[in-house]
Amino acid sequence: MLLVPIVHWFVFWLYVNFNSILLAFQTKIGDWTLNNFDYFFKEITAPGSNISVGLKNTLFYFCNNVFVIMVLALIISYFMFRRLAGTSAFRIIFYLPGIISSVAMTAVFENFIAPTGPLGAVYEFFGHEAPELLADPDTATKTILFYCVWTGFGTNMLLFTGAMSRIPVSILESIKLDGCGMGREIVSIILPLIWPTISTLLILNATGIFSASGPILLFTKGDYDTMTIGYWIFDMVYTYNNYNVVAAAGLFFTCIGVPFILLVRWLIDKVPAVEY
Amino acid sequence: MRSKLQKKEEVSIVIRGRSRVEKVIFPIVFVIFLLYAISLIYPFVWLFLNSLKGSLEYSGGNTFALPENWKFSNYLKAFEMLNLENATFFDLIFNSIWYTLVSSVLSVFMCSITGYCLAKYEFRAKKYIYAVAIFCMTIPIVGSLASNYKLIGELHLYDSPFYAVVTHLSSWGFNFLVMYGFFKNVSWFYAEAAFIDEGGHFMVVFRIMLPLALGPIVTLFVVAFVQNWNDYMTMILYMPSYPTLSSGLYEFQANAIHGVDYPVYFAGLLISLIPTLTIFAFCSDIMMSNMNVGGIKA
Repeated sequence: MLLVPIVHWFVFWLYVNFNSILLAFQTKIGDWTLNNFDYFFKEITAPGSNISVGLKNTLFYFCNNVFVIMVLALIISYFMFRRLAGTSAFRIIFYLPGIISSVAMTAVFENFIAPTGPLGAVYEFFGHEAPELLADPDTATKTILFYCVWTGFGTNMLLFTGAMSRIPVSILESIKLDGCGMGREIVSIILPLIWPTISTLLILNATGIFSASGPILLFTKGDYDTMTIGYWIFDMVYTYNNYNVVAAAGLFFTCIGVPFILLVRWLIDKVPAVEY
Repeated sequence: MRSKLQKKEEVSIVIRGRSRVEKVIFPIVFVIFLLYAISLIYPFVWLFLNSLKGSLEYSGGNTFALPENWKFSNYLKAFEMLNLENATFFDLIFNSIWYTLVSSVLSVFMCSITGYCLAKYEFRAKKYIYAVAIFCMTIPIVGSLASNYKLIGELHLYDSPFYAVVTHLSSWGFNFLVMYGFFKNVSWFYAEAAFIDEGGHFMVVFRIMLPLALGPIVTLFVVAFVQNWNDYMTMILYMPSYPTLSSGLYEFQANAIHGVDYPVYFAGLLISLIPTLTIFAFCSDIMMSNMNVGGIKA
């Protein structure tokens, strides 16, 4: 029964990744070359090129995931854990973007912020011309980042509230008896006790650092300076069938990604685990 | 499992005795939560109301206003008008159904079987297979899409329904870990009892172990169903002749040459949401209470 999954792994993981390394050193017709790396390094160092813009935006999305979405999800989870009025309903509503397809979510968002949509009507009401937020290089990436935050709490929120709900009642009771304030409760009790969940999410985010992206295909197809590494790879493969440069770029980013993830793990391991 | 009484006690401890600062902060946070909840729901109310407008009324009228004539016929029109070059709206629904079922059933089944075999049978390669499975999950590989895309072409799986079958035979990743963890904790006594009654290994798997694992299997299936129903990238990249509702509706808007009849398009979008919202309505508890780090807890 294990034969199928093992063969599958050999073909779709081992062969694919081994072949990806070979492709990085080959031309389209299979001759050995370093031109793919040459092209890639020229592109990544050229200001305004797709790859350099993509790298910059990818790091924005990564920071957005870690420093904005995760932090806000943590705050939301804390108040849900403390049974804010309406918590059950909020939990379901906040999780909805994870259920609804990205195609529908982005279509709704796009039409909502369009000059002909509700946001445009609000601008008109105040006598301003409605902006094309997704068609302006100054605002397009910021708008998509906002969209990611708007729809991004669901899974993190469930994981954090799940972790908080496993904190022993006796600990919660004792901090109440000691008269701990909210800040002290969060810093001294909640965060250390749910650290395994936080650290795992940090590692998962760090593992996907160069894959961090928004729904670029659905919004802008990489136009208006919204390119990310993930979308650039998709575009090069799907639109241009340029496998070799993608493989070279992938190898480069993987080589950076591995030490980065090891560094993140090392830093996380420095935080002492709390037994309870 | 904690009892209801214990849970109530825990809740009362969490709620009890809010300080003066908390009494100020909590109402403010409640208002913020409410506004955020409205921001998530209102766009869909707006979408629904605008799906009932006429095309001209939508483009020229007040975007916040209720429809002058409630055109429920837009929902019927969606079935007639939202056609692609290679597929009708009915085709999109049909493709969504078979793709979602095939990929969800196969991936959950394969992870269950693999998890069971590695958790319950002793053999020399076992620890290496497990180590490799974990190792593969932790390497941040970038750019293998090109090689994968090339391979799919070479295997003649490109634009073939067999793509959905072959690629979902993969048994690794988080779902594997969930099932492995579950079967690790299942007693082998059940199997031994079956062997004494002259039952075989297949009988033990299909009539004892998989039924025992029904809880996590259903949870994984529901999550996989939602993911696969909403998946649009696979169709765009690998199966363009088999567009689903997600990929089809995207292509419809992206490739519209003569403009889109937005109310009808909105109706189509809302129709595409029915299955996942229905599943969520019935299984939200399963999905939300079983989430744990790394996916789903067994």
